[in-house]
Amino acid sequence: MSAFAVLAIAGVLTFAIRSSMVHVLHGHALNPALARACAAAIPAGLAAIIVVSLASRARDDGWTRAVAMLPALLVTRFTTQALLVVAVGMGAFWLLTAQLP
Amino acid sequence: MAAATLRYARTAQAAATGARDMAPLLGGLVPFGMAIGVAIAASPLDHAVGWATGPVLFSGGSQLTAIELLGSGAGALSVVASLLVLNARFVLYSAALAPALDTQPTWFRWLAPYFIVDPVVAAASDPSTRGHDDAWWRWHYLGAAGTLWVAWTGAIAIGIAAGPAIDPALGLEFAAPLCLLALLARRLRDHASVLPALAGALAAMLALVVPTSLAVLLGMAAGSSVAAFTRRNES
Repeated sequence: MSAFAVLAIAGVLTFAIRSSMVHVLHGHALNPALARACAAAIPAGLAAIIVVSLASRARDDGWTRAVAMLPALLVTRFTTQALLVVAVGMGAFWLLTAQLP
Repeated sequence: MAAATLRYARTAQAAATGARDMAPLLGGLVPFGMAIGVAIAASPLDHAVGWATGPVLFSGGSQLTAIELLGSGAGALSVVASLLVLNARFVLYSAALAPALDTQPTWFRWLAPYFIVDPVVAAASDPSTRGHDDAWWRWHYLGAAGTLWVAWTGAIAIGIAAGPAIDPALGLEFAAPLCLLALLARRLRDHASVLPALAGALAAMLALVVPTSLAVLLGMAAGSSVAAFTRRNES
């Protein structure tokens, strides 16, 4: 099977996953606890992806990325402007990697 | 005639607001897209197939996995199974958006899920999108998602073209978790999101012994469970 055919199958199945609950739940009211749980999946997912992303790169360069994220985390106390958060985090990362042997 | 003009103006304004809401996130996501393009350029995978992972999968983590597995000649079943596990979290995002999509027209209920990915879901469920009518929400969603789609697929193409000139030591892909951090921080202004986020991070940390995709899924499940449980205690 060609690489594109495999990719196309994966794409169709990914779309099925993405649209599944939209269609399953269509016309049905969620009970409040389930609605709250679904809404909470978004912040929980973002936090989990960040943790996993940092940990999976720790094998390559220690915890440089995690340390570089600390000043970015501090910035979010004052602003949630993504550009500023990214600029501070990337700047810290480049400074740290420049210091490493 | 005047009503149609007014409707068109409102549509354009909602789409423009969506695009404007997504624009700051592109500062983190475009470098990530370029990093994926660089990975495609360095992979033995055909560049056209590599670029097509963008519009077909539309998810950075899945695309990197697909590029790695397809490039290494892994079997079709293992590629598809890995991507399904990695994308399983979209079931929860799909459920999270279901109430907002419930009253939308059929064509939009079929189109909108294609764009379900972390930044689009976060932008669509941002507190600032509440209190508007269905049409405004729909065009805001399309404005945000369309902006990301164009920037994302373009950034991958630039990364492929510029691949050899971009130093991997720049760590461009680090911009993605930083961007997600900004999105998360915005969500945490709403106190109801704090506990689920903490539970999600903690569970993902504890689950790092299992494959990455499962750790994310377990983190989301933990955060959702905490939210459901907390609400039950409050009521």
